[in-house]
Amino acid sequence: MPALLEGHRLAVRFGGVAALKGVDLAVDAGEVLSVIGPNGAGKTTLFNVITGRVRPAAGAVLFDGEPIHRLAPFRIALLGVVRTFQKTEVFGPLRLIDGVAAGALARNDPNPLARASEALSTVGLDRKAHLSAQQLSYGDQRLLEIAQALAAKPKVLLLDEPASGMNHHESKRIMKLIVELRARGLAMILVEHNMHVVMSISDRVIVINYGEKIAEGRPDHVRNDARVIEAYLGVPQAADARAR
Amino acid sequence: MSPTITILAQHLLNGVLIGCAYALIAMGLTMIFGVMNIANFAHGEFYMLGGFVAFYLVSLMRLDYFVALPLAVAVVVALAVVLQHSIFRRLREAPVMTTTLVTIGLSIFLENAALLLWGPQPQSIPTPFPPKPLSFLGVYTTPLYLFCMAVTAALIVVGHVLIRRTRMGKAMRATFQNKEASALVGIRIDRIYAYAFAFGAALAAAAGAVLGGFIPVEPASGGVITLKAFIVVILGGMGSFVGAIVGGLLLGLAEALGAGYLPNGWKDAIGFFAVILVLLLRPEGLFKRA
Amino acid sequence: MLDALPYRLATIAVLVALFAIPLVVHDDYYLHLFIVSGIFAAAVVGLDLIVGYVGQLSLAHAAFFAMGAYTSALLFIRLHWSMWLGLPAAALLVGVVAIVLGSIILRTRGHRFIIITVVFAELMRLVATNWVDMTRGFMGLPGLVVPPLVLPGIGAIDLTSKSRFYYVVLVAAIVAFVICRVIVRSSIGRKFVLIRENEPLAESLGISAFRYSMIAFAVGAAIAGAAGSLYAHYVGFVSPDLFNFSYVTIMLIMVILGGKGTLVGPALGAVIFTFLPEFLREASHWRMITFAAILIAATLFMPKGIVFPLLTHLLPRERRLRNARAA
Repeated sequence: MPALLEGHRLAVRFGGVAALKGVDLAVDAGEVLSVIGPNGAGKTTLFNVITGRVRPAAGAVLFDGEPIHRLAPFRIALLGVVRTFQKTEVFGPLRLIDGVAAGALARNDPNPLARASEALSTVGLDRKAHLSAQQLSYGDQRLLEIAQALAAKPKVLLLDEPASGMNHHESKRIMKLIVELRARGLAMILVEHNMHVVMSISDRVIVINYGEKIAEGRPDHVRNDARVIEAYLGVPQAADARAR
Repeated sequence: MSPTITILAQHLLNGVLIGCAYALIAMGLTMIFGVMNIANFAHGEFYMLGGFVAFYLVSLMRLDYFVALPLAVAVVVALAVVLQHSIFRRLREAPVMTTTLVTIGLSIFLENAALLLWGPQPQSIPTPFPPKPLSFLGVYTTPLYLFCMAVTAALIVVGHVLIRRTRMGKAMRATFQNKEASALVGIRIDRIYAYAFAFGAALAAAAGAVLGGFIPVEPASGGVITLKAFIVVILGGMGSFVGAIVGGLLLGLAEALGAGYLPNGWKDAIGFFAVILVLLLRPEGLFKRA
Repeated sequence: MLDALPYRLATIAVLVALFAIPLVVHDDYYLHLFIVSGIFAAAVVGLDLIVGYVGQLSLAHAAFFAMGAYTSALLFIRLHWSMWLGLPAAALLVGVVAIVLGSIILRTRGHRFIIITVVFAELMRLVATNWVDMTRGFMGLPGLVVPPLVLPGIGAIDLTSKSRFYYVVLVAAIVAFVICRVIVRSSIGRKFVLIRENEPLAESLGISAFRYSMIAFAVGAAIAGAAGSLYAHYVGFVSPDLFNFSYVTIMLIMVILGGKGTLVGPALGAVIFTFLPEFLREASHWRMITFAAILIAATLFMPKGIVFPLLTHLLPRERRLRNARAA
């Protein structure tokens, strides 16, 4: 049975450089898939090709069985595939409630402010709804991004480094939110460097290095995979074992 | 040579000078755009002021022509430095609308100031060249024309060398690509901005001073020149110096051919149509970013 | 916010005052200024949609105004269409041209977009100047008249006097303002603002920047075209001078100094910057130099404009806060 969102042999080229080489992935409702890998491995490119910001040179992205990789980004979002960004993106001087309403407005929701209010409550920012995004702390802004995405009624949520730059308390808040969203039936793909977060809440993990998927599986399985360790540490596993 | 070819050659020769001028002006515009991320709507006014200051120096202050030209450029550069220090320095990370409105305001300011100072009459800079026509194989030209062509071509080469070979040029191009990284490796962004703006103004003013002996300058000429420069920059790709040079030459030649073969008044439309076509077919311009 | 009683009363008061002007002002010269203000007010509230709300600097708007004038003039001269037919036809034609142009250029952003709008405007000027068979080039198209208003049962009402034509312009300006207001306060207008504040984010949440920019661009252009038609019939002739960059400049000044993104600001800007130049009539170049300096200074130091912020300053503090939050 096809998963909610699938990527088949995705390849992306920028000029002469292959950013992604034949990557497969799949995520289903109520599942958290984490994508990890060294910097520059192609993780954000993966998000870009799923959300239509970048065209794949080869391969396909299927949502609910239908190919979406040639659609315009706004259409993909309207279908239910929504993302957040690595660098925080908010609506500047607008009030939170007005900015978060964007996703609801896009779907011609008859009551966008109510949707926005719900989304803000889910992430815990409802008491700050009248403030502007610029007035929020960094941690709150990252939560705001998730609220913005939630108001767009996503079926698949792509979170690009949601816990980056967060202290322990803020990371726990994010993890709790992700777990709750999973319980609500959302499919989620996380790009994350914070291993604690990845290991605690992922159902599955895939590891990307130099544009290729080098491992996939449950978190504890992947963490011990030789190729993954080599990718991160650059040390061949055999040499390491001999040294012990 | 057959008459048709002679006529064609004549048109092409007429177009080379204008093409060189466009190339110079567009190089300056590209520098300002690339380093400062500003579309300088007042760029044509630097051209116009170069011409008018040269005219003033030669005809009213009776300076030697060959002294007046570089002096005129220097005056315009001085003005550019003042403008950079007082206004553009504050606009470093400003949004597109802000910088554009400021340069539009500047353009209006300079044009009307010129009207106040010199009146609306077009003026030709008196030159020491004899008006005697020269001819090669049936194609006519004058010593003044050859001088202008030589100087503008030389300036294009000098500009190109400055950009590609000197330390300052390389620093300016580095800032094009990546401002943050440039600042991190120690390039003083403020200085680069000042140099870029001065460089851009200098090239435009030089074109104006040189061409002013050949084509009369009037305070209103700035607007058309700015537009033509933008067209060249868009055709050439908005960050490419090679594109500016080649685009400028092509536009000059195309317009000369248009003036010769199209009905009156339509030659200016060539550039406009070309831009719209390029936008439809190849939005990123004909050349890659420098 | 703006439905609160004091605002409703103020609006009614303003409307009453506007309708009363010809009863109080009898000098044709001043009525002329009010008429021109009204025409430009209509034109610039349309411009505010794309400049103030969507946040793209279009320099083609004055060309749309001039195209509307020419369209209406040509329909009158060649097909004997009165202004009552010419005006909606001009609005429609200019709107269609804007849609065609927009489909080419609205996918570009920033500097390139601005430059292309100037290129388009210049191209239109060239056409008006050189397509002599159609437009008579520099000689222009004279002989336009303000048509009478024919009402069943009453007959023809002559509208050529300034005080009568003022009401035509006033109604047109109010209609233009209302159209823009309705759009701005609807979900369409909210999307404009979201696009302005962060376009990539808005796109990633499902809002098509292209589609909504197009709405602002085309509606604004159509309104400008209608205003141009009014101008043509009022002034009595059209010439390529209508495509001069000075029209772009003055419309920008009206919008920016009036307060972009407020509709009321640009409308007030239209009145102020129609009257003000007349009082500085003698010093034409000094006038432009002063305006240019003010434009530069305002852009640098007063990005919200001068007129509208000044106005809201007069309001009680609470209203000002609510204004700021909803902006």
